[in-house]
Amino acid sequence: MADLSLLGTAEAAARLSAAPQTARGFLGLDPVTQNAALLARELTRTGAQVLSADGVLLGYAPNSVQPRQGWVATTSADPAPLAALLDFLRTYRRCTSYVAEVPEGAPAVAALEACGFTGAGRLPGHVFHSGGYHDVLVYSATQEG
Amino acid sequence: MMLRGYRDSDLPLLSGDWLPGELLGLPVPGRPPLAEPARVPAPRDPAEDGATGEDDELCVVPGAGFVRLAAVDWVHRRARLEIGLRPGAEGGAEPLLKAALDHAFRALNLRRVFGWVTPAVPLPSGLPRDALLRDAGLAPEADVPRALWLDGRPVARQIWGATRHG
Amino acid sequence: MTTTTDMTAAGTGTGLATGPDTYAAADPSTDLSGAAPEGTGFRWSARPVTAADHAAVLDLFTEPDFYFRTHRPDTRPQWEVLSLLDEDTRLLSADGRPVGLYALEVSGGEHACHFFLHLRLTARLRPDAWASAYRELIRALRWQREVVRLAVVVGEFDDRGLTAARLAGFAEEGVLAGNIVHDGHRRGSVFLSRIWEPTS
Repeated sequence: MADLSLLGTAEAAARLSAAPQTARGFLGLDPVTQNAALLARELTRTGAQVLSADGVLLGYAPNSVQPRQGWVATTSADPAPLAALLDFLRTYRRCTSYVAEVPEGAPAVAALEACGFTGAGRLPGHVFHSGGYHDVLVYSATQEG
Repeated sequence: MMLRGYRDSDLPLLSGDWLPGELLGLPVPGRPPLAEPARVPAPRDPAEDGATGEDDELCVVPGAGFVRLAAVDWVHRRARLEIGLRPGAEGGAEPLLKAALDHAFRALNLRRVFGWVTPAVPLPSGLPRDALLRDAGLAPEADVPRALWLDGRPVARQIWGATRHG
Repeated sequence: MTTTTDMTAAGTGTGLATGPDTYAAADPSTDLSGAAPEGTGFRWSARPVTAADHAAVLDLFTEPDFYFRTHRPDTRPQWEVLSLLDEDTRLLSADGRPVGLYALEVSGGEHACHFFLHLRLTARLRPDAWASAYRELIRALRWQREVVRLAVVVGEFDDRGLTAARLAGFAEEGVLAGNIVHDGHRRGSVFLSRIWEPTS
């Protein structure tokens, strides 16, 4: 199991800024167009936490109307860091369901599918980047407990 | 149905017995009277999630309800729509929904509008929700399980959206 | 102000109406609180306290046992009474008439689903009416939030408060001894709670 470390908001914003391409769409953020201060403000506003595991950035934000649900993100296609995050949320926040929104083609899709997430839908033309509109895929996973 | 910009005197319209963030917010049948009302922030009034309301487009129909286009994003040209109607104003749901989308697309020149729908909760007075939403040009896009706590358990919510190409 | 502690309690509360993803509105069998006792069929309502309500609130604090966030209600000056009200405080009305105050505090992290409740009703209402208000409030809270633990703290000397909390199903957890001076003696605070098994 990958070792997780929690990052402070400023460090989280700096780490996302340092890897702008892999972090596009991370919890709805876009480090290509948002600077570190904007990223930090958004992370604070949504109550999001950023963690790192083996150089991979992981994100979590609570669902304010359902405290057992978490919104998650990863910058990597490797399922191990994401699995560690889900285990962390289940153990320490008693999350029982997870949701992720990822731009089509993002590396996170492979990690989500390997961790048991299934497609929950597609938001057409939800984001504009690189000169065009792109769909965003919604994934969800639930666990009994 | 005519929308008007929000005034301070419209504050009572911003809280009521709909579900939080619901796209088509109507009073929920069987809601316990002491349940905290749902609220949307008045402009420049910090919301619970820290949003300042300055990125919101907030309009009202005096005495009947509000239309909120939350977090209007001019890069992605999208906003999340929520509507809240007072008890007795349910009949205004259809024209208000159309007016809201018309305002979003034709006045604000947005490209996409989306919002949360909770299928487990019927609309009052037997209003056909899916037909209302589809007639207004919206379509279901995603099913998110366990997205809202309601009546002792988590229930699923859907994301409905409309995209205007061009 | 009282702090909440995490003592264990024996009560496990009622079972939950779990089921398919349909919403059984106004079906009495899904009423999480149970039926109200005879003679307390009030129509309860609540609203945030505004300046227009201050006269009614100050009137409640003339009762010597209106222990809402204070142990000496009737001798508190106006500014201190108003300082006990915060944005989470609600004026409770029965059949449209103001009869009390309540405030709900999140205890621990949001995800813990632990809450701490301050609720006080006028001495004009009987304890069973008070218990009915507790139950209606619990039903409303559990309708829109998962609740695992709901705690109240009542002074040992507060017979009305203890009776109402017990009637509403709160189980006694323990006494924090001697932390309040009441009528010339050091008295304790009784911790009571209701606990529900997490359902998700």
